[in-house]
Amino acid sequence: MPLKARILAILISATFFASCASATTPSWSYENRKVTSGEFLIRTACMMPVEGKLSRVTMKGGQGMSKESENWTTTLENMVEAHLKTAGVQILQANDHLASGASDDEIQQVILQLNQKYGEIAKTLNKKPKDIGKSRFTIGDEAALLPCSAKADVIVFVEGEGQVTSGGKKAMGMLVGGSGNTSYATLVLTMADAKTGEIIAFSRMSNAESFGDKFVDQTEEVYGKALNKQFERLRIGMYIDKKKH
Amino acid sequence: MRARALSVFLLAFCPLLFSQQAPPISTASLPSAASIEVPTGPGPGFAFTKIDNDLLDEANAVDALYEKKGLVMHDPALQAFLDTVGKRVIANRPIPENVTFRFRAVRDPMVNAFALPNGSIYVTTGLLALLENEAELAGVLGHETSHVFERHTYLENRSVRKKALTINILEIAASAAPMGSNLSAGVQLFGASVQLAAMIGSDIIVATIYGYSREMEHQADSDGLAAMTAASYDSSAMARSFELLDHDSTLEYEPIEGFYRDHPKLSDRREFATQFASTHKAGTFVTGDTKTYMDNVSAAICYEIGADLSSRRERTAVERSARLSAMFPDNPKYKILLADSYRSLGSKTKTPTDEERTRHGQSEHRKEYFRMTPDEEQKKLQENPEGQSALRDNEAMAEQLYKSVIQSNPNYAAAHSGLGFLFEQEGKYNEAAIEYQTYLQMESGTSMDHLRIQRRLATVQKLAGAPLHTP
Repeated sequence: MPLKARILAILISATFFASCASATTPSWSYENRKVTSGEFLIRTACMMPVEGKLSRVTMKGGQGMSKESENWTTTLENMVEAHLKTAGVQILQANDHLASGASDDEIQQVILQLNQKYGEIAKTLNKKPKDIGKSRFTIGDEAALLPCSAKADVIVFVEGEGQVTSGGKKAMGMLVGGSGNTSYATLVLTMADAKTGEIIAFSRMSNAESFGDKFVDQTEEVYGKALNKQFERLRIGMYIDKKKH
Repeated sequence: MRARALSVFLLAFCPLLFSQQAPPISTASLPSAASIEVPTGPGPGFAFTKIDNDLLDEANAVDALYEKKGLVMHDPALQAFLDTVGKRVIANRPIPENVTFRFRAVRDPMVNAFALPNGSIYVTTGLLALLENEAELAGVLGHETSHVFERHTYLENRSVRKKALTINILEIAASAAPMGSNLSAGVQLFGASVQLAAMIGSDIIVATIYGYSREMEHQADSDGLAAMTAASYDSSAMARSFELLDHDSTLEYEPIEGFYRDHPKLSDRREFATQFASTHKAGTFVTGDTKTYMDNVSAAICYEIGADLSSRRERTAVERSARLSAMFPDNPKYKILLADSYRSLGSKTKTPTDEERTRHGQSEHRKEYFRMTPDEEQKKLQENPEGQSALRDNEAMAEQLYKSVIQSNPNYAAAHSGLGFLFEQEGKYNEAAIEYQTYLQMESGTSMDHLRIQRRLATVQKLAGAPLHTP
């Protein structure tokens, strides 16, 4: 092989491996000790509307994937609920009236308000999630304005964000290197005390590199195990007995 | 050698590819008041391609998503007002293909307005709460509808897609160029600028929300002024709305700069609007009074104040609720909102301090915004005398407002819960307990806040050492 071709082959291989290595993001979770110690029991969860956002990056730039995002949102919602139920947790919906007498508009406004508060706190929460242990973050006792909070132990926020990268863009990534040229997806699950609004658990789960673009169609395969592991770690629902022992 | 030649070629053409310079603004070509003609866009000459149809689908999906997420306000009075002003602004112009004009208020504290290519015009509650009269709203709607008439989103999408492809090609070319100390600084800089340019997100819907190219924005300003003038609105109102935007942006740090604020520069836009208005003065133009405007958009302002309080924009909340309360002094709801705003302001001064206005102060504030939670920010402010003084003043003002509502409307339950929150904040647990109890006696058991107040009552009674008693 001529020298020039050999150097080119080495460069392409090095860039490829470098981009693969940088694309892998570890999953992690933080929770307040009162959850794992048994002081705070999670038997009923109130689900906030799930937020799933997908975008496609091609050689022609970024494109929205609104329909796919909507489908993925439903998939994520069903998956998280199913795993919570399997863990023995009763599910309530944030937009349920539950004989509260509140109107749809009133409940919708409270949901928006709580999402806004969560968004505010997320700025600092994302920076120092371990401070959950110090009871540093709260969405305020406005959490109790939701009708479901009367019966729920926690309010659950689920957010998914993914980027699907086209073949052309990936190929360019191999040549050029740098971030943003691979597909990825992240699922963030946050639990707030339904009474006080204090954030008590926060998990971030990233898709394994081996799944590539498949995270949309194989959401269960990508996140299922990680969710079960997380719920066991938090000792929620049926895992409560384990906590007592 | 070939790579260097390519670099020189790219260097020569780069300014053309990435240039966003606006042409100089001139009012010399503006039409006179009597014969004002509103541009109607490219008309039938605009042919839809697959890319345009995809974008149209995307815009429809955004509409559906806003509805689904509850972002669209459905207050009947507000909707009727938006429809009336909107229809007046677009009157006598042919509606382009694939466009259905819908004027909507979107729940968002960011001061902004935007148009989707399908004709959906959104004005945020943040902007509605800032404007002062109907003519200013007409200016906003005139500007946004012009983007639709001129097909700006489609044109921008086509342009961005071409640029994105070019940027990717340039990125490959730049990486292929030889690196090292033998290269001129110009070539190295050139490579860096391409890398930076490639990082710019090109999602067109997001771009639509943040704004278009400067040329398109100038055109929309110009067409918007013509449209509002043709609809018999005072065109000087657009210049006034730019002044309001300028003032509002100095109140507090905002993590996301709204496009309206600096793209293009507000001072240039204001000057252009003023020049236009001075050449189109006539006696028949209307502005609309502030009281009627605020009455029509009161639902948006009330929502906005709540949203401001949930997003660390207490100063804005105070300013907006003070304006509302001053305009309708007999309305207890507005007075309560003002009291709530003062209570939430806590140790913050009503307007930014001299220190906060400096470059260093702004930078520090920005850091704290991301580093501290709202509670931590309040605690830090209480450490200095200025913060302590502000806290005393704000709490005194809030108490006075709550009590004045109770004096004139003793059965106004929200005044009692608000006063309870204030007393609890001040550590006056016995007084707080009394107010919470009064609230619970007045409100039915099905009120959304019932459970929260019950819990708070239990907490303050515990803190006060009183026997636990829940009515």
